[in-house]
Order: sequence, then C-alpha cells, then structure tokens
Amino acid sequence: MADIKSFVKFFKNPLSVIGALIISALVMAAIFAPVLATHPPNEIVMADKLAQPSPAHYFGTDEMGRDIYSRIVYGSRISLQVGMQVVGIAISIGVFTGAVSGYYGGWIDEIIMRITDMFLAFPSMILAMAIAAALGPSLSNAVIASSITWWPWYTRMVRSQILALREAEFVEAARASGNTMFGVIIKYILPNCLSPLIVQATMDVGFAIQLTAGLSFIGLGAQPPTADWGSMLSTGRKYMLTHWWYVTFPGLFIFLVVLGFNLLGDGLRDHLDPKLKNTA
Amino acid sequence: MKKALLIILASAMALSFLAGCGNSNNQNQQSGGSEGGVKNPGIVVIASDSEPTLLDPHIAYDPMSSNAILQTYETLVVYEGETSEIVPFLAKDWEITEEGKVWTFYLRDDVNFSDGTPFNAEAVKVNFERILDINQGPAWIFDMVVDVEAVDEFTARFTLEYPYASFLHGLASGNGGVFISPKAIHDNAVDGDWAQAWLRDNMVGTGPYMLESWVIGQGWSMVQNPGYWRGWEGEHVEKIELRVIKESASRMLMLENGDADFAENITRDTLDQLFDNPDVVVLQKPSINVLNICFNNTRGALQDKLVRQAMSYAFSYDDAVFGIYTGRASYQTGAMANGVWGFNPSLERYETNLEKAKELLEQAGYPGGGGLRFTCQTETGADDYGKVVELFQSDMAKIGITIDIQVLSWATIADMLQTPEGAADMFITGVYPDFPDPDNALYAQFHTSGIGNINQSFYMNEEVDKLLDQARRTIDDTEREALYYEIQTIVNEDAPCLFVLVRDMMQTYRAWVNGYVYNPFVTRTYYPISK
Amino acid sequence: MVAYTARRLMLAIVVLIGMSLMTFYISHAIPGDPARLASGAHAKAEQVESLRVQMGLDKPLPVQYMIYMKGIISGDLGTSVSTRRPVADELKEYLPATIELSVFALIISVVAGVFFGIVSAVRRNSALDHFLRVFSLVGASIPVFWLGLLFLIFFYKQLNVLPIGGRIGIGINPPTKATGLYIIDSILSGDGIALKSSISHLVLPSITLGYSSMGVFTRMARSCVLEVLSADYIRTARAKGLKETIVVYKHALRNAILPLITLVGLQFAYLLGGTVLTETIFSWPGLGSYSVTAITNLNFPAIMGVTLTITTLFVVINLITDLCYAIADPRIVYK
Repeated sequence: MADIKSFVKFFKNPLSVIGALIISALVMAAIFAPVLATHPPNEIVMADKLAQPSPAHYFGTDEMGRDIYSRIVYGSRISLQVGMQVVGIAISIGVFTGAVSGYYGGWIDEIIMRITDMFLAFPSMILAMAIAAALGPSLSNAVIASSITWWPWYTRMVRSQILALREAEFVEAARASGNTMFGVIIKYILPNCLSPLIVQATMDVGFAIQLTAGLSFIGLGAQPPTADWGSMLSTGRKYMLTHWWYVTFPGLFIFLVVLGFNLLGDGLRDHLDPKLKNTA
Repeated sequence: MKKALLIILASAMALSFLAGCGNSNNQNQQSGGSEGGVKNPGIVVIASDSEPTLLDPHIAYDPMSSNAILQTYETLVVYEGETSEIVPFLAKDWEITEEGKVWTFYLRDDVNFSDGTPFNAEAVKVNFERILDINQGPAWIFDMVVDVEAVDEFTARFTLEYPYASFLHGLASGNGGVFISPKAIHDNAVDGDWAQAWLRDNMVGTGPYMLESWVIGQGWSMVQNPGYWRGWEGEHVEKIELRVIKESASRMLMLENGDADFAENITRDTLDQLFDNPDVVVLQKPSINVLNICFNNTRGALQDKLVRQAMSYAFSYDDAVFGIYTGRASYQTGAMANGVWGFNPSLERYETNLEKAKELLEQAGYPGGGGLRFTCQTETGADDYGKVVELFQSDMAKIGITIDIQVLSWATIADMLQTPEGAADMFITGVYPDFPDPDNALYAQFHTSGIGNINQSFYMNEEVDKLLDQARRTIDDTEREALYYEIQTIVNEDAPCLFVLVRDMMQTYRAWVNGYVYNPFVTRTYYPISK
Repeated sequence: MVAYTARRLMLAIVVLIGMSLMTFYISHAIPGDPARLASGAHAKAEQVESLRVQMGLDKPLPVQYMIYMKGIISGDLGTSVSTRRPVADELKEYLPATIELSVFALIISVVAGVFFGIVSAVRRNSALDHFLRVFSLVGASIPVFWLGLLFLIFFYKQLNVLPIGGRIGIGINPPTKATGLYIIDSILSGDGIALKSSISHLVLPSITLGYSSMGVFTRMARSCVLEVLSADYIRTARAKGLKETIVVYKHALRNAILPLITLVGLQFAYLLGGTVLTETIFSWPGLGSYSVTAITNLNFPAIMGVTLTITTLFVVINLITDLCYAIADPRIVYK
C-alpha cells in the first residue's frame, strides 16, 4: 500500500487532495499558532468588543473584545488535540478488547461483546453528557467522555477482522511455527486490520471534534477562557442575527476540518478497500 | 470539482452573511407588515427560554413558575403600579396591633374562586396552613407566622412570633402568599398530601385567567376566567400563551416577526438591533438585583479583609458595566442596590485603583500578589456571569493573583456551598431580593445563621448579626433606617463579596402591546394588557 | 428461529440490566445534592433533610437501586426532582416528540441518501458523483446547530414560510391525545388545522437532523451498488443487453437491501439519542431537551428514565432488525 504508484493514484482524486490540504493546513496552524496569531488569544479589550472584521481583526472580535482570528488559530490546537486523543484512546481500548475477544472467543468474547452492546446502546451524546457532568466539566473530561462512547466501534471492527483472519492460512502457519497467540495477533493479524482502522480513525477524528464541540455547546467542554471552537460557536450563536462574524468563523472552521477528515477518510477507503479496488 | 465545494461553502457563507446584513431590508418588510394589523389578535404570546417547573404556588419558587402562577392566583395586597407602595387587593384594609405582632386583614366579600366557591377568611387560614405545613420553596418568607385565624367570614388574623416589619412586603411579593380554592385542595388531596400531586399541573384560583393547557417542554396557555371579580370591561386579551423557545436568537426573530408579543431574556449585546425597530419596545429599568463575586471568608488568605479589599479595588467596574453589560446595568455600592428602601447614600464605592490594590496586598503580606491562586466558580448556562468572571480573572492577573475558572451546574455549586469547608474559594452569584426591603436583601446573606443557606460568603461578624436581629424587630422606620445604614457601612468595609454591579431589567415587547406596567418587584400580570 | 429469538431476548435483558446499573452509578456520581436544589435557596437544613427522606435519597445506593428496579417492574420510574412529576408521565410527553422527529429525519436520510448513493455509483467519478459525495459529506460535517440556525434565518426570517420552532402553531390546540404523535393524532381526530401546522413544524428540524445522518446511507448505497456492478452476474446481465437502470435497480438494490436494513435500524436508534442539539435549536420538546435540563438540574430519576428508555428502544430496534434480516435472507441460519 505504500508504493509510489498507489500514492499517485490516491492524489489523483481531487476530493482526497482537498481533504489532505485542509488537514495539513490545520496541523500547520496548530504548530505555528504563536506566529500566525495577530493577538494574544485571551486578551480582553472591552473597547473593541464585537468589532466587525477589518485589517486589525481579520475575523472581527467577540463580546469581550478578543480577536476571533487569533482564537481560531489557537483553537486549532485544541481541536486537533481533542480529535487525536479521543480516537487514540478509543482505538487503544478497542483494538485490545477486539483482539482479545476475536482471538480467544468463548465466554471472554461473550462478555466483551455484551459490554460493547451496552455501550453501543447508550445514546452517545447523553452518555458523554452524563460522564462529563459526573467528572466535572473540563476539556480532558470531555475527551474521556467522548472516548468512552467511542471504543466499542473499534472493538467490533477489530473483532470481526480477526474472526475473518483467524482461520487464514498464513495465520495458521504462523501459529504452527511456534508463535504465541499474542505474537500472532500483533505480528500477523493486526497489520491486516490496519486499512479499515486507518479509514475509520481518519473519519472519526472529525466526528470526535464534532462531538466535543457539542459538549462545549452544552457547557461541558473546554473551560473559559480557553479558545475552543465549540465554545466559541456556542456563545456566538446568540449573536447570529446581529454580529454574523462571531458564529460564522468558528462554525466554518469546524465544518471545514470535519469535512477535511471525512474527505481524506473517504479517499483512503476507496484506495485501501480491496473490494473496490478492481472496480473501475 | 473544487467548484462544487466552493459553491457549497460560498452559499453557506452567503446565508450567514444574509443573516447579518439582511436586517435593513427586513425591517422595511416588517413595518409594511405591521400596517396590516396585529398578529394573533386577542392572544398575548410570550417567547421564553424556560417554562414553570410546577404550578403549585406554595412550592414553586422560581420566576417562570411565578409568571404563570400570578395570572391565576392572587395576593392580599399588591404593589401600586411601578412603585413599591403597597395597596389593598384581596384585602380591603388591614390593621397592625401589639407592636407589629398581630396583623388583621379585612377581606373583600365579592371574590370567588374559579370553581365558584367563595374566597373568605377560612380560605386564607387553610392556605397558610398549607404553606407552613408543606414548608418548601417560599415558605421561609412566612417563617414567623405562628397562627392564622378566621375571626369572622371576611376577617383573617395573623399572629407572628416577633414583630416583623416586612410582613406586608412578603405578602405583596406573590411568593407563596396566594390562595388556592380550599375545595380544590380538599377534593384532590391524596393521603393528606394537600393535593400536591394534583396542584402541580392544575390551578384553581381567584385570578383573571385559568389554565387551559400545559404541554410540558412546549409551554402553557390560559383563558379568561368569566367570573373574575374585577370584571372584563375595557380591553383585555382572551388568551395568554407561553412558548418555550430555547435560543435567544430565535426569540428575537419571533419578536421581530410579530409572532411573539413578549420575548424574555434576549442577550443584552444584541438588543441594539431592536432599539432601532419601531415595532418593538425595549424597556430598560433599574432593578434591585445585584451581582456579587462571593469570597469564601473562611478560606486562607481570603480571611484577610485587606486581600478582599485589594481584589475589590483591582476589578474594572467600567468594563463590566459598560462593556459586558453594555451600559444596561449600574454601579453597585455596598451589598444592596440603591433601589431598596434604607440604602445608605453615604457609602463609598470601591473604584478601580490598581495602585491601591497593590498597596493593600503588600500590607497584607502578599507583595506582588505573593503567588495567590484561587478557584472561582460560575454556573453553566449563565453567560453574563461567565464573562464577568473572565474579566475578573484578567483583572486579578494585573495584581499578581491567579484565578482558575470552573464552570459547574448550579446544582453542584449549591451543594458545595452548604459548608465553608466544601465551598470553593469564590463564586459568582446574582442576588434577587424577593421584595425591596433591607431585611430581605441583607439578613439571610450576611447573618451567621444564613450559613448553609444563602450566606454564601460565610461571613461572620457578631456586630452585624446583632444589628440585623435588632433591625428586624424594629417597627419604627427612622430607627430601622439608622440600623441598616450602620450595617451597610460595616459590610462594605469588610468586603465579604466583590460587589460587581446592579443589573437593569430589560423587557422587550411589541409596540402594539397596550397597558403594560412594569413593576421591578413582582412578575408581569397580563390582565391590564391588550393588543 | 424461536430459539434464536429467545436467546437474543435473554441477551437483551442482560444488556438492559447492565445498562441500568451503569446509568444509576454514573448519575449518582455527578456531584451535587438534588434535595438541596429542589428545596430552594432559602431552605433550612431540616427542610432539605425531610425532602431527602421523601425522595428516598437518604438510603444507601444499592438499596436505592433495588427500590428503583422494583418500581420499574410496576411501570414506576420515580419522581422528577425538579417538577415533582412522575418521570414516566414526563417521558410520555417527550418521547413521542422525539420519535416523530427521528422517524421523519430517518425517512429523509434514507430516501435521499440511497437515491444519491445509487446515482453516485452509476456515474462513478463523474462531476455529479463528486458533487453528491461532497454534498452528503457536508451534511455529516456541518455543525447541526449552525445549519439549524441558518435554516431558521432563511426560511423563517427571510422567506417567512416555515415556523420558528415547537411542534404546533400559536393559538392552535394540540390534537386530542392518542399516541402523542401529533401527525397521527390529528389524522385520527380529523383535525386538519393541527395536521397542517404540525407538518410544517416538522420540516426544518427533520431536514436538519436527516441531512446530518444522510451521509452513511449515500456511502453505503454507493459502495453496495459499485460492488454489485462489478460482480460477474451483472456483467452477464449487461452483456445480455439489459438496460442499465434495470440492471441497477433489480440486481443491485436487491443485494443492498440487507445491509440497508441493518443500517436503518442502527441509524434510527442513533437518531433517537442524537436529537439533543437539533431539539435545542428548534425548541423541540423531546427527550434531547429533557435530558439536557435533567443533567443540569441533577435530576437523577429523569436521567435514568431517558437513558433507559432510549437503550430499551435501541435494543428492541436492533432485535427487530436482526429478525428482519433473518426473514429477508433465508440463507442465514440461526442456531
């Protein structure tokens, strides 16, 4: 999957390219935030409150006179961090439980699958809300809450991959040649689950950003004065009729980033999914 | 291909841009529309962000419940017009004897409940028994009532534990002191519950309107009570409808479109747009609701008066009043608003003075802030509070004090506030006195007995306790006033809280609403309104 | 088949009991004292205490849990802390609203999603394909509350053709209650005005919600159709000279129906729990709004009630989906 030909092929799809561009821009913004920002993100200047976009404030200012552009630039760090953390945690738990469940089967599988059933049945937004409220509102708790609602999907995915692969010849061969079960999982089975995992994870980063923005919307996410897109959008919506820029820019950026991850994931899926490979 | 994406983005942006810039042409449409006449004639529509929690007037104790309750249930006395002057209502007259311990009310004899039963002294007695027996919500206002008796059919007599000067205010405020048909209480009681279950969703009062329906989550509607004692001559609306509209922007849209006659709780910063709209009235009136950042007076460095004073001097009041509240608030001097009777005009206000703040900190032994770090809590959903706290945070940084902000649900904060050990270092709270009397505004907040209740700064000062007790039992107004002046001076000096500002009440309604009288002390009543 | 159903039912019950334990634990882990909150700011310690006893909050957690579970069996979900109303009664008001919204949103997302997916697949890699894929991804990516507000500004403020929120117009009484679903109730009671009004109130929220969940259907339909189109028997069909549309609809769709059923089930359940933000924007009096208030007010019984209701629905819907699956595909044998 890493050969140059397929790399080129991937970038022939304009949508994937757009997705990749958006995500690279996000990463760049996060890395170079202090350089890109024109103002300190939390600097309150009441005299400049709710100013229109202008050369002094590219995206205008908020109700505390803070520069929205700078807050968005710094907010990219939060969004990226949140997205990666949620998916990272969810994958770690999911891959472990999924691998164990799929490989051992039997009652272990039964227990793990019932637990995932429970979590899947739980309305994710309400679960996240309850957990975030129980842990106390903060960004890291929002991340934990979101991850908790997310991991079962990975468990299921890895499990089904493993079930499919367990009987495959190369796995049997590896087992026969004296590898431990865990060694087999790590060396032979997981690499084969990688494609669907990558696709899913890419898209999920976007959705994780959306979910935590939703939590911020209810006040359970990042705490003030942190520049966070979700909270900005949430406060900004009250100003939608009178100060359009306040809600528009955070909304636009959440939208672009989630779209970016989706486009990228979609492109990767087309690219990595063996079932679709041969269709012209 | 990029084109498709661009088109979508562009149209999304255009849409939101239209939202902002479309105002001017929209207003033309509107003034054109309003010439055509009034929308929903005969119905007054209120767009509100919340609905009543329950309709039992002896348990409910929140503004949106009161707003429904006081259309159906009535008080013995009321505030006259916009003032704090108390005039007869269900009671024609009253008499105070035994130095303020016995209050006798002479009732009107022409009042019936909407179920046809008469309103009389027996009804007063039963209702007060109910309030005191259930002992929830507003019952504390009538704590000092020992006995209510029906002297004759239309004379009711209250006996108080001690002379209580503000008793009349307690009755006029509409919190708890209203009357349910005793027949309804009796008929619907289950296992001696005083019909609590039934009266949650049903109302039988003497008032002008009767509950038609309440669809929870969506709102309620009320219709005229045909047998109302003040009659239906003149202009009145036939129906009141409250709609729960959660978004401030949506409520504003409804008001602009004429679908709502009253829109509650519109984000202050966005009101400017309504000021320019000839079809909408934006009423700005001073209130007695103050905003305090309460320090935990038992915690570490906050025990030191100098530290509290230093913080009070470091806060930028101008930014709060004119910035965050866009001038829809005024400066607060001391613990209560100047609209409350007994306000001490000679108090000195803490004005922003960073030099003085730094000096005080140094005196207290914390030069340059001395690494002081506090946690300040604010409640979820209260946006203005959050902004004030953010401003506070940035101001305190200027004198070297670090503030960590915590946004928690009010339920959680309230729980922590039960003990000084459990409470955070500080939190922000709005104080809404039930009536414009210093006893209500100060006693529970600053008397030691209020700890675990609403003395949420855990302020303990024996001198103040003594004076508050004395003032409460004093009937002579001049004497009382002098006592309250002294109390305010001590409290102001001690700075148990940072006194942020006094909020103005903002009311937004359609210009076609007639007869609306705003009173800062009680909820709006719709009987005099027409459109 | 019967054994299979029985086994699934057993498992569903296990899951539900586990869920109830989990919710109970989480909702009681939220710091705060509901008795204190319900008795008001001025309440004295003994007032709070008596209310705590009245609400049963003074007992140890396991006992509270047992009492709660006992109640559930007799249909008693406890009493709402803030409104003092039985939670079961409140759910009866809020649940139909959410079901109505979810069903409409689901119809919109299935119909539009599948249609776009098929078109996309048939015209693979054309400009139309790209456009439709981006269009459905936009739906999945756009923050719902932002989209909802844009809709309101456009259709309510600018055009003034659709209402701002709620389930029924001002001055119109809700139809006589039978199911709680306004559309069905107004048809049952022959109330034309209420019917018209409730449909117009459903349009924006269900499009907003439906659009956000449309993407999965487009994607699924697209890949299903593509897979089928590349299969041997389709090549044969084509080679036989069958018209393209007939090929697609007959063969491809028949093959797509099974995964579609699963997905519809999953999405419906997801929508039921995912209406929080849409309901807030459109002031829709459903479970989403209810749960937000419940969580801010530490209304434990209400939180429990909502989650248990949604989970039960989820489990039931999943069970039904699986059974449909079994009926639709005779090749699957359940042991």
